[in-house]
Amino acid sequence: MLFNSLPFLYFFLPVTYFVFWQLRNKNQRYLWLTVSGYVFYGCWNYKFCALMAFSTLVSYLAGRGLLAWSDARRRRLCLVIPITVDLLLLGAFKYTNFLFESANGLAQLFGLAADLPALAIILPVGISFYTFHTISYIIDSYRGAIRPTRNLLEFACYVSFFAQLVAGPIVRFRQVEADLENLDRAERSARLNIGWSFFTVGLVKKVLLADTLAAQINPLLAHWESLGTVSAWLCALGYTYQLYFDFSGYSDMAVGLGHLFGIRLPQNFNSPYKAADIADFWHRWHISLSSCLRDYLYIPLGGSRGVRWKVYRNLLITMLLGGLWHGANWTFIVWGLYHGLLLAGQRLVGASWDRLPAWLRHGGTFLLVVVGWVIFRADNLTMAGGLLQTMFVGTAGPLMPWAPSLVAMLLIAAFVAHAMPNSFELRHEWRPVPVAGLAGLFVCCLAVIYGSQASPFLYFQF
Amino acid sequence: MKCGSSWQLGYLIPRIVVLALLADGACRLLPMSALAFRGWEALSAPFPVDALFRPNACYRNTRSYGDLAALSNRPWLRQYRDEVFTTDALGYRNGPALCEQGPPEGLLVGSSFSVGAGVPDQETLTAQLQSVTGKRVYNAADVVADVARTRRMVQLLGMRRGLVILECLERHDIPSGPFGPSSRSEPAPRKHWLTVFKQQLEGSRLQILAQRGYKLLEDDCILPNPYAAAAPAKVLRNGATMLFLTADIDNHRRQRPVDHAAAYFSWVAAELRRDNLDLLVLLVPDKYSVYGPLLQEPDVRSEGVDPYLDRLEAVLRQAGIPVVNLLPVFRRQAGDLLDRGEYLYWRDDTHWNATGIGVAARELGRAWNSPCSPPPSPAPAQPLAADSIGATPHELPAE
Repeated sequence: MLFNSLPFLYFFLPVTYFVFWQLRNKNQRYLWLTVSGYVFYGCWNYKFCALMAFSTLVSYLAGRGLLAWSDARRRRLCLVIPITVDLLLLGAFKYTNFLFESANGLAQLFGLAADLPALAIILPVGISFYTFHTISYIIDSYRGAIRPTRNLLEFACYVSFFAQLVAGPIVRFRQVEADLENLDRAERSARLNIGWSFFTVGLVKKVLLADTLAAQINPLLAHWESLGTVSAWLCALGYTYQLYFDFSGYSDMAVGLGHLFGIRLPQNFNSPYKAADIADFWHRWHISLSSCLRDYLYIPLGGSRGVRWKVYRNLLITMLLGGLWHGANWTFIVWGLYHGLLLAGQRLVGASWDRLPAWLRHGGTFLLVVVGWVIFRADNLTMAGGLLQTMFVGTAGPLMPWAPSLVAMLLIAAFVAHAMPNSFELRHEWRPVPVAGLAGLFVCCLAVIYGSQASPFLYFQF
Repeated sequence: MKCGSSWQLGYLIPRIVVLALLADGACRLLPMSALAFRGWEALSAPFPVDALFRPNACYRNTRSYGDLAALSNRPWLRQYRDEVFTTDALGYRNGPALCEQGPPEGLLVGSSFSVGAGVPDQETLTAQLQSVTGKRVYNAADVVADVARTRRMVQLLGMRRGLVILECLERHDIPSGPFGPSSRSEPAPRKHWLTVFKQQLEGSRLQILAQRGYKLLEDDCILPNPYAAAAPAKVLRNGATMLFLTADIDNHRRQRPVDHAAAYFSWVAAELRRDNLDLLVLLVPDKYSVYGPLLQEPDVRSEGVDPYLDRLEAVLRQAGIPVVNLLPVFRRQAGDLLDRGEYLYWRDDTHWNATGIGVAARELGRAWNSPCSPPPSPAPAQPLAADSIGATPHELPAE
């Protein structure tokens, strides 16, 4: 079930919302949100609900252990066991076939016989997100940053809240702890307007911008070998904006839904294409993930402390694993390494970079990000290399008939991404004319949802 | 900011959602015939048991067009025609007077080709067969022939003897065994209520209207047309454009097995003999099998692949099953008619037109008279009169 789908808008959301606000007791509301979260997740594949429940229970029990025990050895067990369980789940479902394929490929490279089988493993939707939720909870509990909850329902509600369940943002327990604790005192009317405002803005970004761009560039990328330089650049830019509006639109909708239920979810995007350098980009893009990588990987590795080569090592490892988190493909690993190198490079030449004119810094950063997205989008490294070569080595090729329409969409997308305030910079207190405009856009989104084919979020398989 | 104010999103958006839901519900009261472009969808029964169509219904559309033009979202390739689609009391496509003179002499079962998708009532296979042979044939065609249902129909019509013409479309695979005895006394299987509920839920008229509107944008100018690949347009030797189903093209290029066919048709024949009925198998080629060799650019990927229907015919004859294979005669006729701009199939549809049905009816008529021997060699193709049935009223522009 997608946020931009009729079953969600017509049935799931109204029923969940109505019943939630009829309940007065905090535990009842926890239970209802948990149940609705599992129903939401079960619509994808009900068999994997047990997996999420298992991960939730293990982390909850570990949290209770951290509350009960002060013994360092036991506390370490309470940290290691749930993280190991979560990482094993993630690894087994997400990376097994990738490992086997890579091992087969490596063996063939060295002339060895290897035939590890491709297993029929279905990737559970959102596993990368909810395992990170539970991992962050346990680490923060271990560090004393939060006090683990004794209430299983509260914890289950935190993990399975449908708004952020399958595609983020990655929410740390401390970010929603206060709202969860006061869930019985939440006022329905307090955030109704802001909630629907966020949701509408997100829906417009997703349905009218991201999906339209996707429809225009996907047929071209399916035959990337025949693209010319101009078409390749149009596709690269198209995907750059598609990915941003798809993911940020989803995050906006998640934030909006959170508001409807009295839960404030954190900001996930802060106009990333306005970044002046790569480090700035990573402070603005997928903030919930980058902050997790910083706090739970980069800093424990040593962060920016120590000798220079160690800092570079830490950056590369963090970004490599960050790339791998996105998917089981060499393109994601290379993309992660690419950004690691860029971050390391910025440390090297940062002073010189900062002396450049602003337009050059912004434009240069954007160009570097676009190149990264080409690698990210490619099905394999051959396609990534081929596309980049086409982009930077003049290649003749036919222009698609809808090129003018694509250029128009790119101009609109560029204006929204580079010039307009992002959804968290808006006050969400609209005058009648903007309200009418947004309502009209919502109606357009409904029309497109009715008229077009199903469009899943790009990050759903992550 | 008070949420009670009507000019706030917290007030407006939920009401827009409710209004849209109500509009969706209200639109479901619209009859499907108001939205359909042909009789098949217009008269399909909401809860089909035996027959696919609503009983005692009539659909008329002077601007009906082909399924491939709709499937591929190419409105400029439509061939508009007048369609009259009438069903009888049982929900099959027959005139009301067919059974008034007693049980019919023959029963036709098969696919949409036998139903007569794309042609008016008087040009269906059973109507033309009656013109050719003088024998009354009941059109019990549906989507796919089913032996148990066929035997139920025979009992319902009071047929104590006669011929069952089993139309086998090239696209459909022959079922593989094991085959148990069929029972005509068993009631027709009903769909699970959950399946019916889901179908009703998905049958949104508003969605059909919205999709039609959205498809106007998917014209390869504003947005790419994602449907085009489902039915590629190819140019014939005479310069005319014809649409083909991608699945038919793929089927044509592979060597499909036929060895199991004898067992299936022998079983069907044995089952029908229990009701004192004879079997005659009619092999109907896909459009691509007929017109593939007539393309401007030959299809090199299908070279070396023996025609599936010819191999199927050989297997059936060896098993002693009476069979009429339309592929050779269709290929001959198609080639002869091409230069005159006449065709055996609609150019914008998977189905045959009245000309193609006429050829099939003549072949069937010959075989009916001697079902156990191969049909005599067909006479050389006779030029058809310009105003004969099947002449296309609107010529497609050459691409």
